[in-house]
Amino acid sequence: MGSALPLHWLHAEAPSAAPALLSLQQTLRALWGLHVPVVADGEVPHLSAGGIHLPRTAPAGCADTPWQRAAAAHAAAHLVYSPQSFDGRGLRPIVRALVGVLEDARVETLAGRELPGLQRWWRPLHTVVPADGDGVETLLLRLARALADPGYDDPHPWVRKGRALFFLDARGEVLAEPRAKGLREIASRLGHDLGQMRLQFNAKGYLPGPGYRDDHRWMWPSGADDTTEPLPATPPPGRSADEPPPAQGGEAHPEWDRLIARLRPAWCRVRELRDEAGGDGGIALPQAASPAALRRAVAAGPARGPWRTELEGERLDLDALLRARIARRARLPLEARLHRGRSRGRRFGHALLLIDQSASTSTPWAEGESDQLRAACTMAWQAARALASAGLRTSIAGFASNGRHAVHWQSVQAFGELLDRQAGVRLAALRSSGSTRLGAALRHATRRLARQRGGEQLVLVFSDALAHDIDVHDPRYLAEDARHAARHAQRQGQRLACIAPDRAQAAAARAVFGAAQVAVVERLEALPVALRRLLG
Amino acid sequence: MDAHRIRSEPYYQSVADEVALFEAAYAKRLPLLLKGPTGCGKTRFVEHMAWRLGKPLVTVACHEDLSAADLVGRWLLDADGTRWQDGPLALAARHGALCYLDELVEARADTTVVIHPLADTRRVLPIAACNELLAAHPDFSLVVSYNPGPLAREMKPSTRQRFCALEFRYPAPEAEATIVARESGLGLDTAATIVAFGVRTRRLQGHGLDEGASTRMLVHAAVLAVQGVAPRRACRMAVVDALSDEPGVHDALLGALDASF
Repeated sequence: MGSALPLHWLHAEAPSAAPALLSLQQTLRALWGLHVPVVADGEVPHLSAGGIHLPRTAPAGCADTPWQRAAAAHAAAHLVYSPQSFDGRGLRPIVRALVGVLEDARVETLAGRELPGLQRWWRPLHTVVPADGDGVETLLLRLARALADPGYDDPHPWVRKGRALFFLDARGEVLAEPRAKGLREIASRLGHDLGQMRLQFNAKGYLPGPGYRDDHRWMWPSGADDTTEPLPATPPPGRSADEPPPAQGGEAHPEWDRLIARLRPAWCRVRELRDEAGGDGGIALPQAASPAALRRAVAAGPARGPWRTELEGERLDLDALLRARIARRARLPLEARLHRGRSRGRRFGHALLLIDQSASTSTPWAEGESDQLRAACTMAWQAARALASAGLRTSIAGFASNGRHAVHWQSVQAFGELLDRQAGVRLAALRSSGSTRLGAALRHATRRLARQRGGEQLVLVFSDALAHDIDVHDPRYLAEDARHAARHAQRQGQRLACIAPDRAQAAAARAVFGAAQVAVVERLEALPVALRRLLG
Repeated sequence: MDAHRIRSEPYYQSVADEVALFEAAYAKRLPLLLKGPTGCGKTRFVEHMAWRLGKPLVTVACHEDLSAADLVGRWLLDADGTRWQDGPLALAARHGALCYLDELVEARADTTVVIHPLADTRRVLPIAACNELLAAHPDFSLVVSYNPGPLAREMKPSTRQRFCALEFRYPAPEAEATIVARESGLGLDTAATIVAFGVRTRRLQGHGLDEGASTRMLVHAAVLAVQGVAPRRACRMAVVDALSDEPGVHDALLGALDASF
């Protein structure tokens, strides 16, 4: 169901949302198919181009979650059932306030017909009683309650008249004016009555009530109302004003926006670079501390592939048993292979080794003799050689970013190239700089790997997986994007694994890749064990 | 094959022209591929069509350990020596049954290749183990199903291109409510409320859920309701708690459930 209001969620600035608000966002998606951010950043509930804004906490005496849920559902009901705006020309402030009260009741009635449980969310929040007084604001609250709760019987003639004008029936089920347009007439009559009662209305200080209802700022965009604010033209979530301008070239990738729970298409650009000017530079290529152990660690692939008849196995092979029995009757030699097992034969496929070269990798590695980037390069080199000797085609690349338009992909070795001295020189040339837009790098790796045909597909990431970038200030935004990218790759049948350099920060990597796919390596000697666990 | 005959009419609510299309394909023995989400009625449709055509139905639930021998057959030993035992595919081909391979893509690609000679104009099943080239019975027809969801494996083009396809979706809410009411014995109004909630869960597909509630799940909820469980509680048990363990999505589903009743 689409929104009638012209709110452009994809161009909305939305601060980080708490899990409860994200869940609320999902609830609204389920109820009405709305894709609207829900953020807790306001003094009062309101609707804007940025979505539904709620106070961070509920009023005293109300639990946060049910109250926020009621407020969000009410605002969402406007998005579903209200027109995009009202014509306020020629309306006195009190009539405008009354149109607001009536429109709130109208959308809640319509929503309640479709979703009866919503009334349980809203009705308990109407607490006004006749004893609270007969001022205009109180009468508006009493009218709101009379329209929302059929069990509430208000003795005030004006409230009763309002209810009789609004509903055709005593049970409050049939709207006299099902369309918003007709509310103006009812509001005018009720406003006229308030005038006759010589009651004063302070339009400046008025806020619609009860508190879970939004402040109606979206209703009157014509400018006639001083309190109206125009819909702000704000940049998209996670994008700051100092974001670098879009760069041309490179390959576009989507990015997962957790606030709207959808992929932003072609949001990042990954630009492939290659350092060819280095010469051999007399560098010493990394040597494995225990190359044989490394080769053994990765030689045996995962237990997959077709079931075969084996000497040992997880279960007996029925056909092999039958053959053995027949052979025995025929007095022929017996075949000893009677079990079914999955082969762990020679590996075949492609492995892409991805090195995080963001600025944070210049910090010392656990042992203190080198920084994290150099350690990652050494491990990647050794792992690539071991994987190549096990039968996989390898590729190595570094990545860093400088905003979403500039994710740099530094190619060290492409698929089909030798892991030779030139590749070693390119590896040694990797420098720590920039940020970690991990999701974009993973998607690029996934896409490159998917172009290779046949066998297993493996991405081995050397990173702390602490995703961040200069144009994103929400700490969870890129982490969830990376998790989404990793999950997508796994669904494509690719195997992801991560070597994290620091035990203290491994939680981020586990959140992205899953605990079973992460190993912390703080000593080079631990690499074979880690690779055996991750890749064996 | 008597054991494979369907004695009474399996309830199936036609949603479009799928019955006529199936009959047209069967008339020319064209193999059929039924695509659709989990629990939308593919298997029930095949049962209904087998009953309607008066043909036996041999069903195989495919899985990744399914071997070619499991489909074609194998030699067995008995007191008198060895004897050949047809697998379900050979059985159906020999005796003229409908062979329904449910979730074919779950089987390994090398296993599914054995259906290829049966699924083109040759209509034969080579059985190497007993040196037989089994020509399919004139009544034999092959039907396979798969669920092309986000977690599904791809079907090999060489397999896919042997089939005509019928695409299944969840029925429209009114039709689905009728099905749920008919299957469970629940009143139509409550069934419609349960279905409306099911439709809401499907809006989260791709946004935390791989798939929303299936018609089968909604029937389960309705069956619980007929047993005296309050509909909201029944939906929680049969749908919400069964669909997701992820706290955020679970909470969202609970919110949608609470609003729906």
